Amino acid sequence: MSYKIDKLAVPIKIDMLTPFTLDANKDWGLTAPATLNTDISVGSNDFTIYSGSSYYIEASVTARNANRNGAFTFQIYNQTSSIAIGQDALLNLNGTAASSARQGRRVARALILDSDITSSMVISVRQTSISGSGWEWDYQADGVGYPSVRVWQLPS
Amino acid sequence: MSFKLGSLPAFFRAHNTSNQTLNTGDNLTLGKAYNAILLDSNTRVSCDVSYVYGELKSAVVGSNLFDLDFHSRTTRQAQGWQASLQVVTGLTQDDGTYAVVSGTCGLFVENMITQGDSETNQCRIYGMRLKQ
Repeated sequence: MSYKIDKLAVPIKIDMLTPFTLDANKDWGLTAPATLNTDISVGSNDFTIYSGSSYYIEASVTARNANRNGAFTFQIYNQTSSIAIGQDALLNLNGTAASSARQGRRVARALILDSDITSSMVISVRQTSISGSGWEWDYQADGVGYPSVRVWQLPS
Repeated sequence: MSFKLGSLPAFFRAHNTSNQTLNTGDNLTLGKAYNAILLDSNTRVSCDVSYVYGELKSAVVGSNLFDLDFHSRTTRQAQGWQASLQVVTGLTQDDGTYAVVSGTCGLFVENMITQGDSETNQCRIYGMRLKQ
């Protein structure tokens, strides 16, 4: 006979969503892990958070701009209210702004309080602007891309 | 019959500040761990179900691109943010990767493109236990 007891170590639940498409000026396509730790539900281009908890959300991608002539921004988007929320992320690889064609550590983030959520809120990650040419951001063997969306479910 | 539930601190970390020469497929060696146990020749730490963040820093001469992934004992955790380091002469860069892992975790060079020295001189894992 054996017993397995999962004990919550901290009052936080976290899931990693893996985007599978990043198209210009569109919502990122999202893949959920096989088993969710949080109480969210995940669609193909969005996920839904529910009242009763607060949420901290981060999104990031390591993109490459081979021609070094552009910039792009992405942001957490509240589809329920049709409004971008939180702090957007900017990758600027235009001209002398970057010594290489890649930048990491650029993160869009938002803290959504329980009081912000009526009953549920549909969230996506949206590219809000893009310029230049020669962008790569999908997962490739040369180290470009592999974005992630990190969802923290916090006590309200 | 009685049962005693073990309890580990919620937060842990591991690091190595020694130079490591890396190639594709290499595990990064961790020198020390705090609130976690080093396993498998110091390439992994015990983590239960944890949210982990790993990073490395390189200060070599040349141009390196590390694809850094977390992986568990048997299954590579290719989740998260790759570290992409483009290091030019005299410039130090760093980057990180995230994952939700179960059991053990370590840092793994998924792929590396280098035009210079293939060294990194710092790596770290920060972890937060979600379940134990």
